[in-house]
Amino acid sequence: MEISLNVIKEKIRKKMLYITTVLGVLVVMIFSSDMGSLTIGGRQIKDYYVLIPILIHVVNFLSGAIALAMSLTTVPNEYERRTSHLIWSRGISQSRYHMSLAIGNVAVSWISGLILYATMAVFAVVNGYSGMLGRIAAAALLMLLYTAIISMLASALSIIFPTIVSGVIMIILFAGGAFRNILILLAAVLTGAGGTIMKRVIRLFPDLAGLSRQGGNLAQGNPVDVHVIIMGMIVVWIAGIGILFFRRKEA
Amino acid sequence: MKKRTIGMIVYFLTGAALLTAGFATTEKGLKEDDRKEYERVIEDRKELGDLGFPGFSPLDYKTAFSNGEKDFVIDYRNGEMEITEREAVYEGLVGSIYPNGDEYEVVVPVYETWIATGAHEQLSAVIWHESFHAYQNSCFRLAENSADNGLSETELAERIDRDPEKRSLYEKELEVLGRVADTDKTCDFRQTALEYLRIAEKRDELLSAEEKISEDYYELSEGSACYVESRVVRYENGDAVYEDNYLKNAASYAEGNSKYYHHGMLQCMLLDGLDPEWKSTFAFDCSLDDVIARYCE
Repeated sequence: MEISLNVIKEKIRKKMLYITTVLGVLVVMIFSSDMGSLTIGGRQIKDYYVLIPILIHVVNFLSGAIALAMSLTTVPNEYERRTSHLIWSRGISQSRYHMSLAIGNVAVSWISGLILYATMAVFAVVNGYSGMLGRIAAAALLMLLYTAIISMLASALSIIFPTIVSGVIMIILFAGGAFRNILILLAAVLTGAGGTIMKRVIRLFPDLAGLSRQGGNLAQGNPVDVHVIIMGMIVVWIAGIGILFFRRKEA
Repeated sequence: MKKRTIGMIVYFLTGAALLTAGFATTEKGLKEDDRKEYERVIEDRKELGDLGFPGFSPLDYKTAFSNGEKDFVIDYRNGEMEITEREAVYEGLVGSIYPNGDEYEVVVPVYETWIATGAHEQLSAVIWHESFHAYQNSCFRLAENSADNGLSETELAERIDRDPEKRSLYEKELEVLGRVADTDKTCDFRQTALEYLRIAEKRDELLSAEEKISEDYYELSEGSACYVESRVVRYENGDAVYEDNYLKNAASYAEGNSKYYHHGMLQCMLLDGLDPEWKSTFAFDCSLDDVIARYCE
């Protein structure tokens, strides 16, 4: 618990949380207000009820990007500063130490994600959609899962790989997951072996786009596909196994 | 037992529960979203009927939802859906008909792929569109009777796009036909038809025989299917979406194939204005221009 709290405090102290969150809030403000106009297929989207699923996609993506930026360096930095050695001397196992750091990463990602959702909620009220607040809160629960997936995977990979390698893998996983719909479309258009291979590869990406879509469904009061949520939880669980069993050579 | 061991047991039990739930909620065969789209077609059919084309029903044709690898085929009989699975008959992203023995089947992408295209229309409207092609070909053998010497849709569109004179007169045709889509003004249908036919006649002189045959064919087959689709969208999504997606840009010339869809749809709307019953005797045995001319005699 103390290790996790230290991760949160450090991110606050280094202003990483502020900078990334302020940038995120700005983007949400631009999308939610008249400053920005969202045009899809030549049509301007002004109705907040219609806009909200799109906003959820954007906000979840931002939250994921923030989670990635903040989770990738936590473990390597700890080892670089040799804080890890102080921990070993207290008899704390590597598994517990890594899991505590990962929990800290997830908590920081959740804080910034919730701030972005709060901004979105404020704009919902301003636009006269205060009745949607409960549903936006429910959609925020799926954002927690979305960011937990990114944060846990980044934490797990950063234990065994140098930051640059884990960063590249995570960007591929994150982009592939967030834009999975586009990949599905591409795979559908491709014929022959290319299409078949692509369809298999897509299955390796966590369905982040699906989670955002379920968030949009929740916000609009439409039925939710539980399978997508369960699969997201399984990814977090698998990443958790990595965190528990991956070992760092320096330790 | 050590705290750590208990923690591990709890962690793995949670994983086992999640994996079980994951398997339990995995959809096999036809997915729920696809089923809902088909159920929407069944519901719409009750309200929309045959849309004025005698004997037309999208439920008469087997409908395959394709993911490019597998087709999930719905055969709707006696109020029940019978679902079978087969290897995909087409690769890639397809909205088409498939001749299977004596009958035509409708093939559309699965919902998951369809929404990824960002398309405005409901997938159910695409089922109506494609099943109208199945109707044209099952009941009237449209493709068999029309397109022997024809050009492909893309080749024809490219030829017209490149020829300034043919293009300019087609733009004029669309402009005149566009009056029927103007919701703010009352259209004099007969006057519009006469003016349109004058331009069409002048333009026909510029077209080669294969261009004329092909253009008539695509306006008829795709235009009338687009007309049917637009009626479904109007019913499902209301006037605003209908006007936005089908009327707003219908009279604007667009490079590529889409102009034939819009042109044909506007011709059908013009015919509605001349005589709402035109469809009841139409046998897809002549061009839409011929039908318009007949009502102007």
